[in-house]
Parts: sequence; structure tokens; C-alpha cells
Amino acid sequence: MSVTACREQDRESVHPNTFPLTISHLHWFTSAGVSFARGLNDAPKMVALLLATSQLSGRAAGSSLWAYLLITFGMLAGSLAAGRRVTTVLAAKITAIGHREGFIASLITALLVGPGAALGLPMSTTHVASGGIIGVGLHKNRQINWHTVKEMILAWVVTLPAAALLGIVVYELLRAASVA
Amino acid sequence: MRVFTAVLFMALASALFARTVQDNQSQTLNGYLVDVMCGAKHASEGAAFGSQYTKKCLNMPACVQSGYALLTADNHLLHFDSKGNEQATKLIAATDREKRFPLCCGDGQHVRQRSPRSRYCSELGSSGGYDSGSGGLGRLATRYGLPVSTTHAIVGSVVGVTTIAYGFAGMRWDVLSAKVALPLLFSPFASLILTSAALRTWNRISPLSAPDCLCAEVIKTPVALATATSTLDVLLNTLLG
Repeated sequence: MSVTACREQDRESVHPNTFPLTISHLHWFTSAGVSFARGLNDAPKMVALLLATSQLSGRAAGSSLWAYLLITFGMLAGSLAAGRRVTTVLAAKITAIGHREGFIASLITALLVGPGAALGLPMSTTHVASGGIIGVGLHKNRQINWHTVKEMILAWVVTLPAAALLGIVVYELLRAASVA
Repeated sequence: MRVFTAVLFMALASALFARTVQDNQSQTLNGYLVDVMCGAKHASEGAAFGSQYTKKCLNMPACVQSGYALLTADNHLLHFDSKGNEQATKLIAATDREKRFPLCCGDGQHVRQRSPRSRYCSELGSSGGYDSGSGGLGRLATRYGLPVSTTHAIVGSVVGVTTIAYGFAGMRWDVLSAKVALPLLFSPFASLILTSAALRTWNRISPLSAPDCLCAEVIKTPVALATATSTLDVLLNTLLG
């Protein structure tokens, strides 16, 4: 018997009902919900930064539509270029996630981040989604790769000061250049 | 200003140092136990293939002869070395499971039974038996992708630049803490608690049989392998009698 035949035969006995298939389909919808919530909550921050700095510099603010399109394109390009690395960490290195767990984690993320945007509360989709995934691991008898979680939290802690430092450095460089 | 910059620089430097130290430690991966022959043919299917792989297939002569491997969720097939194959064979012989052999384990010191339903726990050491040809562990380990929040980066840079440009009083710290810092700080915890609670409720309403968990660790250094192997021997003797 070939291995392929063996596998197909087993699949028939493995899926006596269609429940996992239904959840796997619903999971696509909640994942799309997270993307939508991310668009609601994250894109406006970048647009606000772009338009606010345009106004402060005394130049024309420009169209917010163009700003949104530019940022949308940037997010798409970034995801395609290097997004898979982050996906690997979240999907496979923290804990093993089935469709049921993924469905719930995505649903909770979308339900927190989406209304947060409506209330004007900036939230990090990354942190909320990561919190959900760690919640999945805690639910599964703490099956969590704490080594990866520690690295992730370290990166989170460093983000704020590192971004502040880089912002200051670039600002000082630009100021020095304009003075010169 | 100089003190402020120095503190930020030290935070960044210490974080980078910590990251470098961690890079030299063991690499832990999640995936499914498959054999090399079938795993290579179906590697592109990743977890969809691995999660349905059966004991019957693992025991086929051609499969046994090809050796065993870890098929990760991102479609990498990492071959086990002779020690790993030996331990995989022991596991397959000892388990009464018929299908689905998830390999999920933390660092060497965290090797343990992951759930009350777990009956077998093993550690498949591989000091260099991974598939470097198909871009296995070597490249996988270097491809770090820690999820960093763009929101935090924006907030950090805005706060940094504003403080320098307009002075400390130029920031509306009350608005920043109430409208920005609090939601950012508490939302991950809210997500963690709500997700865990929702899963608990759902599983109470509609129980899902939890899979037994086999544990695997791919370790890069011979020293770490020796330590892990001795841990495993004790563990296997305890578990399998």
C-alpha cells in the first residue's frame, strides 16, 4: 500500500463529522475581523502623524485619502516582504494553536481592538493578538514556550525607549542639517 | 538631556545584548512527527499533513528506513539524527495513539508532561541532523521575527521628539497616560483573560478531546544535547518503565 493511499484512507476515518471544517472556515472570518480592526485602530495613527506634521510644518495638509492609500500600500508591502517571520513566531513558536483556539483568539482581538478604535483608545493589535495567543497556551495547561514569550516581552519593553531614542536622533540630525 | 539619552541608549544596548545571549541558546520548535520520506513529499502541506499522520504510516518499512523528522507549521522538515530516530522509534512503539503526533516542548529544563492526558514525553535531540539542504533549522533559527507594536513605536517616537522639541511641559502627560498608556498597557491582559475564559467556557459546552503531547527539542550544541539526553533518559525510564 502506498503511503498516499494510507493517508487518504485514514483521513476518512479521522473526519467522521464536519465540525472542524466549519470552525476552520469561521476562523477565516475572525482573522479578517482582526485585519479590519487593525485597519480601524492602527492606520489612523499613521495618517494622524502624517497630517499633523504637515500642518505643524506650515505646509498643506494634503488629502487624508492619499495618506490612507499610501499607508495601506506600505502595510501590504511590509507584510508581503517580511511578515512571515512574525507570523511564524505567533503561529508556531508560542503554543500550538488549533482552529478553535485561533477562532476565539482572533474574535477576542477583533472585539477589543475594533471598539477601542471607535472609542478613540489606541491599542496595539500586535499586543492584543499576542495576549490572546498566550491565553490559548494558558488554557491548554500552560503549554507555552516561555522562552519565546520572554523575548517578545523584552522586544515590547524596548520598543518605546528605542523609538524615542531613534526619533530624537533623527530629529537632531535633521535640525543640524537645516541649520547648516 | 544627556542623562535621558544615556538611559535610553543603555536600555537599547542591554536589550540587544540579551537578545545576542538568547540567540546562542537552544532552539525549540513545534510541529508534528513524520517520517522523512513522506514528510519530504508533503512538506508544503505543513501542519495539515502532520496533524493527520498516523502510526500506521510511521511504521511502514520504507518510512522507518527513511528516518524521522519534525514537520513544522511553516512547512520546514527538520531531520532527526540517529539519537533522535532511536527515541522516536521508542515513542511510536510505546504509544497507543493511532494518529497525530504533535511535538511541542520548551527548553531542556522545561521538559515535562504538558497535560494530565499526556502519557509519553520525549525529547528528540538533534545536534546537526536537521535538513540544511531545504533551509531547515540553521536558517530558521536566524530568521527571528519578534512581533513589535507599531503603535508603541509611534508613541515612543512622538514622545521622544516632542519632549526634545517643545520641552517636558510640551507633552500633555495626563492625556498620554489616560488615553494612550492605559489602553496600551491593559488591552493585552484583557485579551489573555478573555481568550482563556472563552475557551474554557466553550470546551465546557462542547468538549474537544485534548491531544496527548509528545515533546521534542532540537538543540544546537553538543553540550546542551548531552544534558538534554540525560534528562530524557531519566524521563523515559520514569514514563515508560
